[in-house]
Amino acid sequence: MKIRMKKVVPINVYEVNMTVFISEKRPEILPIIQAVKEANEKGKSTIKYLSDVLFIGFPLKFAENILEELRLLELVNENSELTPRGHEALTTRNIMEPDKGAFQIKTVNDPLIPNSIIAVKQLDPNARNEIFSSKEKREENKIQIPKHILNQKGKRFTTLDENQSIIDIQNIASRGSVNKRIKEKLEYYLSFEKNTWKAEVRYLNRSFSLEVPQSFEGIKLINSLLFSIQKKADISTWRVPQNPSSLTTKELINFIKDFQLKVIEIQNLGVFDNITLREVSICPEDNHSAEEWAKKIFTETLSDYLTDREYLEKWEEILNQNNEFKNFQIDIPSMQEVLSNLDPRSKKYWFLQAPIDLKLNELIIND
Amino acid sequence: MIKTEILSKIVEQNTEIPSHWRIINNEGYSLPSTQRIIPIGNVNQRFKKLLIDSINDATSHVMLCSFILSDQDIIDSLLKVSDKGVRCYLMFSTEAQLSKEYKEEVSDFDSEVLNKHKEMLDKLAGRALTRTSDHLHAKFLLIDVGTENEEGYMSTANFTQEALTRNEEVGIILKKSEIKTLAHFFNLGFWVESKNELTRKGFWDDVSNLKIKPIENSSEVVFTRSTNTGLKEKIREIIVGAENELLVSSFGFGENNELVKLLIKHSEQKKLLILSRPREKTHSFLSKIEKNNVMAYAFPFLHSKMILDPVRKKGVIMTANFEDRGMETGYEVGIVVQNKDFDEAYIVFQNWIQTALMMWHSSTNLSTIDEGTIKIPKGRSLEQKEIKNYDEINMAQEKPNDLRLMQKLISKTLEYEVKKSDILVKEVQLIKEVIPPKLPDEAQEVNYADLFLSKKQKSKGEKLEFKFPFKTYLYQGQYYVVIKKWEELEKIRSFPDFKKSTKIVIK
Repeated sequence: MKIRMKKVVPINVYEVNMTVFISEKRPEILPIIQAVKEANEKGKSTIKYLSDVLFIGFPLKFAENILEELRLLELVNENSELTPRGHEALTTRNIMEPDKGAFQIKTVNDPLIPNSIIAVKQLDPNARNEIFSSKEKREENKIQIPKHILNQKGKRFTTLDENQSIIDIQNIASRGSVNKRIKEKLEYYLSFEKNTWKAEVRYLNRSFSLEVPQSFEGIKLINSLLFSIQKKADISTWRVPQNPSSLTTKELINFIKDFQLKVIEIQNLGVFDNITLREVSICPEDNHSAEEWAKKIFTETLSDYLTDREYLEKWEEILNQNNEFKNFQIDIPSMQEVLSNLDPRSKKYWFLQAPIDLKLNELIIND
Repeated sequence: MIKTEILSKIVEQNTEIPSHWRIINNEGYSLPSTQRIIPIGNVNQRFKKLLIDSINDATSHVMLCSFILSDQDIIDSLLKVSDKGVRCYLMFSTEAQLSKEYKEEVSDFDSEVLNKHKEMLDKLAGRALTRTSDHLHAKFLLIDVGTENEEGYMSTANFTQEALTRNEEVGIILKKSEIKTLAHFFNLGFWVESKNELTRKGFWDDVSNLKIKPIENSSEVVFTRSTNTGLKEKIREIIVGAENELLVSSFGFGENNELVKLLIKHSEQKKLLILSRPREKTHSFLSKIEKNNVMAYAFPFLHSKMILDPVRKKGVIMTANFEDRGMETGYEVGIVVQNKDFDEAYIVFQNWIQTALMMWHSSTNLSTIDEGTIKIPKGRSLEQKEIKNYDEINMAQEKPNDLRLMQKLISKTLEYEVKKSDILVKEVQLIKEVIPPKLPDEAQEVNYADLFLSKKQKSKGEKLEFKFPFKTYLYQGQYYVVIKKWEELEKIRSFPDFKKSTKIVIK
């Protein structure tokens, strides 16, 4: 069985003052941090070590200034030792640079999307003044920033925009503004295949894999979906009983069917506007349904003239090759019964009637 | 007295007339009343009505095999019963084969018949189960086989309007045992012999042939099918065992066919009575046997096929002609007739002989042929000629301008040139009028001396020393001498100086 669920999540845009650390690629700094680490390990003077190793020919003051830069970036502490951020930079090859000011954050509020902040962008105050109206400016910083955003403080996350920046929010103001001009959406996909759940978001024509929430109960969800299709669904075997009259020939023969559910609310997961379940195992509802099912398979696959013997053989093949029928007591119908349900003008009718009228049974030589 | 002479001569024509059909004036013959062997022809619809009534009364299924089906009444009946739930199983020859036959024998399959057959296939698609093959030629109809109501018919006629009403054909009401055998034969044809099945309008699918138990020839029904040449064997047995006369009816006689050769051999010593249709193949056959103990008759639309031995009272009525296609290969059936059935078949045959429209004559002199109409085979057609015993031919009048010329004319023998004509006359009387020249009314009598003396002689005053006893005239510069009797012409000739330019006439 394969499942694919989709929901469209609206993105809310806030503008708020924050202090953040944003990952940057600063390859020129990494050797310097490495040198500081070596100096620490060797117990040497960091400034002198830097000067001797990296800045040969430059005055010591130069190394001092560089070290001060590193302090400002909080990569090195007052004792010229690498901070945890400094050690992290060596590992991740990214420098988390501090920044402060007004930022625009795009955010979603959905239980399935753990990192609710999608994108972060520093705002140019001058540009804002030109764009926003006086009314909008009067409304600035008066909106309570939602908790799910405030809760991101101290957490590290990766944005989903083109930068895919790693963000650490150090501080965030409790009030800000809502930007109603930007109307964007994000598509969230939850899929199930080969007993594995996967999550994915699509934003700005790009796809990002997400981790399925730990609290996510996949089996419960599947059961819930099956019950949505049919209340008598067998959740132990993930089979859905069906009335054969509503099935196509392919579905009848293969005992699988695709289903589509629209706008369904799943407890704790929100509202999905499109759920597709493919290759769902189906089965007869009851004995009568099983008999009708078998008859339909017989009729749909009837493609040549049959003697009495071939008629029985075909029935046996249908009943024996399909495990679903083994759970039911199905009597092979008489040829007359099958004929009575066929259109006398149809080719299938002749396939059964002609051998009777034209005595094929008595005349045929069986090899 | 000199007068108009009428010359006459009787000429006997000794033209050799090739082998021909003599037309017999048998119009509006009635068919004999029989129980099981039903003659068809002369617009008699008895057999056709039997077929239609049977189809209309069907309650279970209809099995019909025919080379072609275009009779609208039969088609309508099939449509009607199929709508009521009666299953219809049909077997025909393929359209390709029908088109081929049409080119060979337009008299039986004109384009209208072919088109009707095709329309029938379209109408019955989906409502009947139809199969075809090139060689399906047998013609029979079986109704509700296996039930109390079962009925069956075999015929030499295809199921076309022309065959079932116009042609000389034979239909047979089948007995129960024959129905059973023919049902088996039909099933063999359907499951084994057929090549294509009509799946929907205009679409033919190939069919796979099954292995079916073969059919055995019986004392009642014989077949041609695949390797089964029971029909041929039965007919051979009849020919070879015939003590005297054999009666044979067939649409065609194949030149190299084994049975035809046997018939030829039979006719050398024993009697052979043939009923056929005037066709090229028939003529070729008859020309080989016409000098033997053979009498042959024909109808323009004869199509029946049978062979009867009146001495042993045994015969076969079949769907095949005396040709390899039908006797060596094909899908054909024959019903063996004996006892009462033979008697009926014999009555039918004799009735046709007595009412035949044509009789074959070998080549002969015109003088031996009776007055009437004959048709001489010319390739695929027949050239019609009228035979007359006597005719007068008035030849063009002769009007000589001089009695001496007239004398020559009346002594000349009349000649007759036979011209190509649709009328052949055995004795021709030639008649010719010779009209004697007359003196012009305006002629003036003159002295006979002008006939003998020239101008010079007259100017010199010369005189004749003899007397000319005939009156002399002059008109427009032409001298005339009038006589009354032929003897006087001789007298004129005795006058040596008589000018030849003078016209000798009567008054």
